Amino acid sequence: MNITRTRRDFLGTLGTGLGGIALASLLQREARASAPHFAPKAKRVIQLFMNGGASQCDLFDYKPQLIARHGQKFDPGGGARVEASVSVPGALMKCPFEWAQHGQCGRWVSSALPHLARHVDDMAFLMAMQSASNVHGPASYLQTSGFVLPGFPCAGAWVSHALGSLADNVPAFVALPDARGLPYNGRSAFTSGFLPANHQGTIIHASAPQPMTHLQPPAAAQHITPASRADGLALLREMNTAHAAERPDDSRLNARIESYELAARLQLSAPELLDLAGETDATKKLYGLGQTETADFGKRCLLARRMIERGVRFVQVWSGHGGGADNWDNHANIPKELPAAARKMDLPAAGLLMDLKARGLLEDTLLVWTTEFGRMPFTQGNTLGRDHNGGTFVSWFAGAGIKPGTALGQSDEWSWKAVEDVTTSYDFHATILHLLGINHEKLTFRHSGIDRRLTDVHGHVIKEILA
Amino acid sequence: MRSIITALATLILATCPQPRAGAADGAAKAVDISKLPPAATVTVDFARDIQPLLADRCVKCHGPEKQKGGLRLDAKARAMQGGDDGKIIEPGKSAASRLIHLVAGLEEDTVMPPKDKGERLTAAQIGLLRAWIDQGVNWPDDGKVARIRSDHWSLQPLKMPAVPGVAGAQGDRKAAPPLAPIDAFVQAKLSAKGLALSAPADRPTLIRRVTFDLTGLPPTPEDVEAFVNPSHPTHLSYEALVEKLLASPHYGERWGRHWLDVARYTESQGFEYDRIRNNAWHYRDYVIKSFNEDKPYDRFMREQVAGDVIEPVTTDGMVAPSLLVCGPWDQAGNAQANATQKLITREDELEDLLGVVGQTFLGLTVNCARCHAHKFDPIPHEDYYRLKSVFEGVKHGERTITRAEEPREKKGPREELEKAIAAAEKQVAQIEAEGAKLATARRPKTTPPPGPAAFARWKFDGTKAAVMPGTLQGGAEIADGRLKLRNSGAFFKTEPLPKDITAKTLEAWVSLATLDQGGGAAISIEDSTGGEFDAIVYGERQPKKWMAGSAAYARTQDIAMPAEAASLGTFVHVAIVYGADQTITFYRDGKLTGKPYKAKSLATYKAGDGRILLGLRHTGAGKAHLSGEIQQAALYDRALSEAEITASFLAGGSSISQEDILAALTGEQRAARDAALAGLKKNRESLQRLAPVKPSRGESSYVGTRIQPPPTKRLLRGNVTSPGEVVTPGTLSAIFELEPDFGLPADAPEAKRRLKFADWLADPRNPLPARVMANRVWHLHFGQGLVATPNDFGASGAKPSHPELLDWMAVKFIESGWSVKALHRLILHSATYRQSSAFNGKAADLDADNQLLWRFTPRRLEAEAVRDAMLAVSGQLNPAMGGPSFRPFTITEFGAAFYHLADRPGPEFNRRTVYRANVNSGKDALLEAFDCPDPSVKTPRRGVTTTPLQALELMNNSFVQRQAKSLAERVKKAGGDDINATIRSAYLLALGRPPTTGETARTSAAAKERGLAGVCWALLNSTEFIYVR
Repeated sequence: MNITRTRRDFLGTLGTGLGGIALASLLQREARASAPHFAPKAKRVIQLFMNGGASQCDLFDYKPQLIARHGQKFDPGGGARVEASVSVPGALMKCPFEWAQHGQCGRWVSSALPHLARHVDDMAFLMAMQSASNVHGPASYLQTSGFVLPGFPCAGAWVSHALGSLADNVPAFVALPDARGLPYNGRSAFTSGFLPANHQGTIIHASAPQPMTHLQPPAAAQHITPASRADGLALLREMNTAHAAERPDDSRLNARIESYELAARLQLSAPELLDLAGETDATKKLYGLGQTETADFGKRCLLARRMIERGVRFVQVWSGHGGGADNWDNHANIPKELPAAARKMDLPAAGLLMDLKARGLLEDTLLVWTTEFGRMPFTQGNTLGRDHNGGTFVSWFAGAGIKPGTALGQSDEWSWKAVEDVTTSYDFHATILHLLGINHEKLTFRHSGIDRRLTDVHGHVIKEILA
Repeated sequence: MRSIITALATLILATCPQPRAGAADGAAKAVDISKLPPAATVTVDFARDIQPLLADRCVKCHGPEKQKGGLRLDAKARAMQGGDDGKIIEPGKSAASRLIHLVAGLEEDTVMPPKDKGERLTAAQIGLLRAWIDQGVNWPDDGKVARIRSDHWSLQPLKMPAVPGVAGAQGDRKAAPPLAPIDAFVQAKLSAKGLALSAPADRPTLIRRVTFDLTGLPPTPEDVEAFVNPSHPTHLSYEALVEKLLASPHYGERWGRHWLDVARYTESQGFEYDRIRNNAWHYRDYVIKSFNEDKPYDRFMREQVAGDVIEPVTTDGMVAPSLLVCGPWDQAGNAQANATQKLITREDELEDLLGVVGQTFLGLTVNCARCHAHKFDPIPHEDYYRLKSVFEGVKHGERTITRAEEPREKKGPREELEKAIAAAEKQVAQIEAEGAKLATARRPKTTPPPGPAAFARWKFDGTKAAVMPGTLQGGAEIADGRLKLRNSGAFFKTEPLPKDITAKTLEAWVSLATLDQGGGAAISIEDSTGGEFDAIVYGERQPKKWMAGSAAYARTQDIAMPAEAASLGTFVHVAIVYGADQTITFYRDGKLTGKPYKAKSLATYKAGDGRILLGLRHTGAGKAHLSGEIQQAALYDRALSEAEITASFLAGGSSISQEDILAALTGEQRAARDAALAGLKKNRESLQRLAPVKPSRGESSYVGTRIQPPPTKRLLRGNVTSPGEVVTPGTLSAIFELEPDFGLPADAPEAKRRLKFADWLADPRNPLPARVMANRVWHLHFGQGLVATPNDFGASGAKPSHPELLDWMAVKFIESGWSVKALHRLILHSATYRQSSAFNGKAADLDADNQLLWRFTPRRLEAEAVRDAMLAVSGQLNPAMGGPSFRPFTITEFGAAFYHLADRPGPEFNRRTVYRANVNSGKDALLEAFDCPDPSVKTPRRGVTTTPLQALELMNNSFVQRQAKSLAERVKKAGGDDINATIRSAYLLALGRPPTTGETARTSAAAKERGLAGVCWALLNSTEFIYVR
């Protein structure tokens, strides 16, 4: 064989020429779409997502009429058609929990959420959100990505695309699924859709022995020792450096070299990030780490705080998984199922809010609590459960740029449909982007001939809840 | 642009970009009609007084291009319907008509035309409009809306552009050979900037480039050696290498995968349940097979929209339309009790379907017209619904398919037998032709009187059919002066009838390949859908007997006749006369056979619609192909008499009888013929035993199910609760050369609708499919299309960088019979493709993105190629093709399906990545890190990212580590104790080149210290391995 090679003796180029160059910029340039459009109020976001459709009328949406008409057949009048998602509508059912007003603002919260109830003065409620779908799949897509169909980037991916992370040893977008499993739509709940793949949510299984996929060598590969690993990386670096040196025009080649450096940094930073040993007992208690019921959600809330401290932009913490039970999808028995889901979330979420506040992080961190849709004011058939209701549901915001102690919107007298100051996923996302300094109409990505947005062709920033 | 799902009216009002809140009940709005100008007192002439006014002031915003407020004023029917807000014309009541209020400015916030859109109407003009309405809205109307030709580039007819006359490479202009057309187009643009194509790439680079490009795998060290070394015994030219790669079955795997990206092929439902589809892989195999066979692209398109209608008997035909349903499906949404939401789910499903059809074949985002007229392209709102009507009968789900695929061990012998049969047939035909010549010479010089004049006659001896030319279908051939129908699927189809045919005579001279067949027809006359037909059918209701076949046997009766016993190779003359009095008469070899009978009807076949088929009973029929040969066939536009039939038989193709021919043969010829016939019989019987004559039934595939849908209604603003007028099946009016209306009623059978669409799609006058596909192929070869948005050739898509080149390729593509492989050859043979990827600072300054193609752009391998190349290099690749997908995961079902990824070793899991189960929530981390798209997303163009997660995958994924180890073991075996030879082997395998001295020294030292696996791992991680230059 007679192949002429030009200068390819990489012994001569060993590790030269690249050390001082800020190669991170190469990767960052690839990753980021645009700087903020205006001064942001929030630097980062933690989103608590109640998987399954948290029942607004059993948590926040207090309706005296529902109590008064308990047990009656539901007739909204005006010939309106009453349809449920998977069942025949039953009789109206009042909230089985006690209602009380809380805080200076006097917000109603049921006794299912005793811990969060203490912090209503820090929150701004969207009392009349509406979803175009009442099916978990599309509705979850809508609330995560702004579209009911699969394939669209979710909010975290858009934020990663727009802003990147705040440090180069952590990803911009992290998802912390429930220990019991992934939410509805599986991994697609954290997808980057048609955005470059580096914007997809990095999944951290907080309770698994290997929290991040392929962060460490496979256990079976016993021939890999730390020393052989280091040698292998050094050899690879030499190969790639020599290859790149011959093609100085191609920045992608240097980016490849840099990607291994970043991976190494991630490997080093991840164990520290996931290690809660340095947290005080008081902090752990605040998040409910000692109790079986709250340990999982609490751990993930605490990890979320540690992540934003280390530069992650967008952290999603899921409450409940995508199966038929053990989440907020309480079809069969509200009095039994809902408190179980609520107890797992309530104390840790309140703990997170307090901790962020105490550490001053709430100043520039947005905390968002949401779900994909609400539930019906009437029972599901003859059960004590409630069916899906896209007609009205509740979300709340707290932290950076939010006017605390406010609420916007109202559902009708039964908590069946949103009627006043109705908000949608588009408005919800537009507001999150706005707080991050992003004009939701300007954050676009061309895909299949269309300049796509997180907010489709809709969305208004919800000024009423902004400080 | 796809807009909101319009479940809840309040939501729409809250979120639509231009909310119409408050303007709702149109005409009901209180206005002061005393301010109206008086109606004119003249009798209004629509053409003179009204039409120019509407055309000038209204139609620009309320016409074919835009339908502001859902209103059209270019055709009566639509104008009378009004817009999204209701009616605007009340016949006889101009003062109550909102049209008048609006033009008169009575509504406070709305005046028409709006200030910036045109001049206000004068009082006189308003008076005329009022008079016109008061006089009853006289508006001559043919029910059709006006079409205007768009001036958008991609919608213009395809024309072969002139190839620019450009000198070759810079410098020695005179000596340079003329450039190939592609290079001339590219060089013309480069020259304009003072640039030129780069020098050719060196051969090692070129073979690596073209091998990955066509097969997705690296060349073996032996391939490289043979290509690079001119004195190698199996040295290949570049062109020969291209042919070898195009013929490799790996070609289909590579290019099939590209197609599956666009088809959004997924093997699980997606959404909440994401259950796996066990039987979706047939479509993947169909696509791979189609690319490998170089299936003509027009047929490929037709099959994927209507294969089950065109060829319901073949696996291809049944499986191909999986394209329509191989995307996501919302099980929960479909199962729910809420009727409105269920309708919305179905509309979403159809949008996905129309999106894939529009984008894949036409490069148009048809789906953007669901809620309103397309914002950028000339796709009116109703076009979306007409198209929806075409596909509304298609639903998700599995259906039984017949699977006629034969096992590999049968294929070889079958092909051998077929070869032998063909040779024997040829021999017999030759001998008989000689015999015929001799017999003719011996015959007394009196020629039989000419038979009756036919309306149309088809001969296959080079004589052209003057009246009704036709085309060969499904592998039919013309040879030895005959139409040969060897394989099931072959037939001959004519162009439409030039006149109506009612009373008629059909005749044909036919030779049956076997007497045991049944269901095929010698000649058939049918309407354009195949729903109505009359045919001379063999062996359908009674074995070995002929009959007058007809739709639903409406005109068919069993005819008393002896079983057909014509010897093989003998032509039988069959004719059926359809009298005006509905009498049907059958003749065999010029003689009346059986009793004439009176049928209940007589079909008329319309000019421009009816047509003749030879060899097929009717379009869309099952078991309908005749196996054999046809020498001549004719259609008469009247009923022939018995005498005329006899005369025709005597004058026709086989008027020399079999006996005469045999008598004329020499003893030697006769013996040779007998031997050949005996061999033929034996071989045919063997073939019969071998061939999968009875395809296994009962196997299912996710090809979709079919329903007969109710008439389709336009949904105002896309809202399922706001149905508008009924639309009929049709297609995009923007393709000006073709009729967008299918002429079908709103309740036409759904199969007919898709058949019509398939015809429209594959019509060579439709300029989009060829342009779109030529661009896709170019895009995949160069990493960048001539149009940078392969799924969007609309106004918001990219403009072509080389429009003439694109059209030249598109025309060539069609001329080649839509051969994708021919398209590859055109591109791969060009100097543009073969040029070096070396950097050129001057060129980069002028054209940083290499849009002008001054070099070959180096590319990172796609996810599948990375994984497959690792397997190939490590020696672990299992080349088994097709069949059920491998599943490197376990599934648990708990309401929804959960996929637990597990890296599994073993041959089954070492198959090519295209055979991995492509499930939504069980994606592979390595593939995902290399930008493998979400299965349910239409992906015309892969992303290319470089991320730390990618590095982590390459470092720690156990698959990668295992391949590194296997590679180490492989090269250890090759090199033995000689570490230098071992290293050399590793480099040759992974990078296609030997290591330099320095590299050998460095890597052998590393191998000695830490083991060979580490070195192999580094090679598999190296940029050189991951990139093609």
